[in-house]
Amino acid sequence: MIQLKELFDLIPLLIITFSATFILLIEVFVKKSETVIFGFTLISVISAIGTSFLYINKQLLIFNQYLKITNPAIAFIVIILTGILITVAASKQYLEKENINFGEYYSLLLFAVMGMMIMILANDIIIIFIGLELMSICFYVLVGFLRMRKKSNEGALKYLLLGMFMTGFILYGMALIYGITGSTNLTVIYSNPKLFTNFIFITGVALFFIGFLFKIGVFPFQMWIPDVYDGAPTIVSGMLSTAGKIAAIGTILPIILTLNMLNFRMVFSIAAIATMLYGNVIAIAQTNIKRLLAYSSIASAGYIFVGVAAMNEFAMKGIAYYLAAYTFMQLGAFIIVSILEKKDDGSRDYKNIDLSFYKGLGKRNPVMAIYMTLFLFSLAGIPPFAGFWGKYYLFYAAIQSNLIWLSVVGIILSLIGVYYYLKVTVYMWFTESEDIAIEDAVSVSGFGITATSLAVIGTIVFGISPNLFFKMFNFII
Amino acid sequence: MEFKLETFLFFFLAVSSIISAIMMITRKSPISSALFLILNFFTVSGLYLLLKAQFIAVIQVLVYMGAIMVLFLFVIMLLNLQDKSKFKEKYSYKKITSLLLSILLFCILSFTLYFGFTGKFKAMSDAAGDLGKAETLGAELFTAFSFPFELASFLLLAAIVGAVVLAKKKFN
Amino acid sequence: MIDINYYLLTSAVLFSIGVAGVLIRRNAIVIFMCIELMLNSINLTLVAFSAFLGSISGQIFVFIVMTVAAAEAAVGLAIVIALFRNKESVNIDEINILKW
Repeated sequence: MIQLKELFDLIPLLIITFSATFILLIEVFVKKSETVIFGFTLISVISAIGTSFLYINKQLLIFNQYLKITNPAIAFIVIILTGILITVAASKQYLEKENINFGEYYSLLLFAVMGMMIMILANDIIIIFIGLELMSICFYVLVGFLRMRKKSNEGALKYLLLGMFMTGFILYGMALIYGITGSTNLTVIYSNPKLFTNFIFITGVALFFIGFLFKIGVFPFQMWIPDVYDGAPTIVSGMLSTAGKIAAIGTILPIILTLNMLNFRMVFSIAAIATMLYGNVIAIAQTNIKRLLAYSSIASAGYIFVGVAAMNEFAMKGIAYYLAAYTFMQLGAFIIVSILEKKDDGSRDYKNIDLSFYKGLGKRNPVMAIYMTLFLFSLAGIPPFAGFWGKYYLFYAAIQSNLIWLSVVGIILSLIGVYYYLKVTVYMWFTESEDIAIEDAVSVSGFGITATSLAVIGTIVFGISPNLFFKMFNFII
Repeated sequence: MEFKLETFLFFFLAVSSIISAIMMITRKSPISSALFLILNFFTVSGLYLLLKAQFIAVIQVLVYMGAIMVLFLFVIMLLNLQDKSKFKEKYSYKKITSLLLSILLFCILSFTLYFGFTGKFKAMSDAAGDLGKAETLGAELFTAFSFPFELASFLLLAAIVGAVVLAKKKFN
Repeated sequence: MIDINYYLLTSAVLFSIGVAGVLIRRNAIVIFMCIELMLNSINLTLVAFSAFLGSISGQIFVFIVMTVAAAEAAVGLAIVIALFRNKESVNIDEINILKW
């Protein structure tokens, strides 16, 4: 039985849940509610970040042992909420431009965040399942939010069908785990002796992981990523590629570390290499900036899996650092694309997302071009920026676990990736626009530029002094 | 061999559920697919009764067949997919590959299940008869499992908001 | 007394038929129904485990799965309708702006 006072055991979750529901009421009862809702969402996300820090170093089991507060979980939640804060700040401008400025957008966004938080904190496979589905259902709707665009519809349908198909596998895995251990509680499941000598348990865990690898977009389950990110509203693509992935990683990483799945190290290593190879090589041929960033996010999932294969304490820190850096740079790049995108003129397609549009951007719009260059350099892993240190820590973690070959292959593949990031940069600064008539429909409102500046500050500050991050998140191990 | 009603019922229900599932994926018209799926759900709810899960069996009929499948039928009829050309499907090597893949999946699953659980459970648990009652389930749902129950309500709320936004909201 | 294996095998057969349906069929609504079949077969596994283990969590899990199936059906059919308004088709071979 849950008592009323227990609701205050986890204030960030309470804040997010309350705001997600309350926004719906604001929309009904307040006229011209969009601005009110926008401000309300920003305040509630900021206060959720603030209150998350209250739970550091408190190992608690709450809500009838359904949720377990641990330090890594809090770190992941803070990273996700930061990403969501930047997304929300940049959303207003984009939604107004596309004439879809509805309060429901913010409500669904917060429900998705609620799902992510539940999933990361879960101590029971039923709760993992509900959190995952809450997140996914909100994502399906958000991907299809631009209802008048065919691409958005198709992206949503594709994501929905493939996502539900994979949910089936996750669920079958959970059913087998429940059948063999007799419980859905993760603490009880972990306490069973000799789990990995039982091949039903192995099949169950394998099915479970297949579903989560799909959500993260690891080879061979990456095929949906470019299409869905291309079809989704640009700001939603940014959120899917950061917060959505981080939530899935934050859920499986503690499971991998607790079960100590060293037997599967080879599988994770091969998956990491295949993912990096696929993402970096296919990205070279892309002519659409959203698809290019989608492939870059596949490659990033590969780098993260180098850390997962390492499976040591250093890898945990490295993954957390990389995810924080990745949130800033990937989200920042998507926000720039969303700002430069042409506003809705009744056509049923996205405009100004071809790479050719970026030719000569440096002359037309230097501020946006400088920001974009920073993010691309960071994604490419060029030294003074956060992306470089992220990759450095992940590869270093792999070397610590005697996986020198893995980190060597990873470094070579990430060097291939430098090519296409530099290609965009060269387009922006060193080529002239072919089409003179191109005009930037950029009305940089206060919030759009603030959100990007936040991401730029994160990329540079964490890049110049990575120790700052480890001081802030010293509780992670 | 002694004739047992339970054994007969099990095989009757299991075989008819499998046949209706195969019929469902092979029908050309979505309406007949939906009707065969309803038949499949009905037979599975019979299997729940054999497992002494009375309440789940009732819920299966009410929610799955009564709500979800009616929604499906309603949408199929709303979209008016009468025009046969709109659901013409081609047969290709891809389909044979996918059929082989699913047979492989079945072999893996059945192998694991058969060898993993043979002899693990002697018989149905004595408590099984009580577990399936609405009384027991209700009591558990509102005490020990109240947290997942509340979360499920938020999931439904999010889905309602999402469905209304996608299907009804007026766009300029 | 029927052994648990028979229930589990029935469920595995239904699950594989559902998977085959998702991979073979091209009509979005039929694919959707195949996914419902998959979820339903998993429910059978869960109920069987619940009865043989004598533990209630399996049956509660079935409730949650049914809730999720209903929620996904609502959202999914809304997406199908939105797509049909724009495209006049639910055949995923014709959904070709984004390559499948």
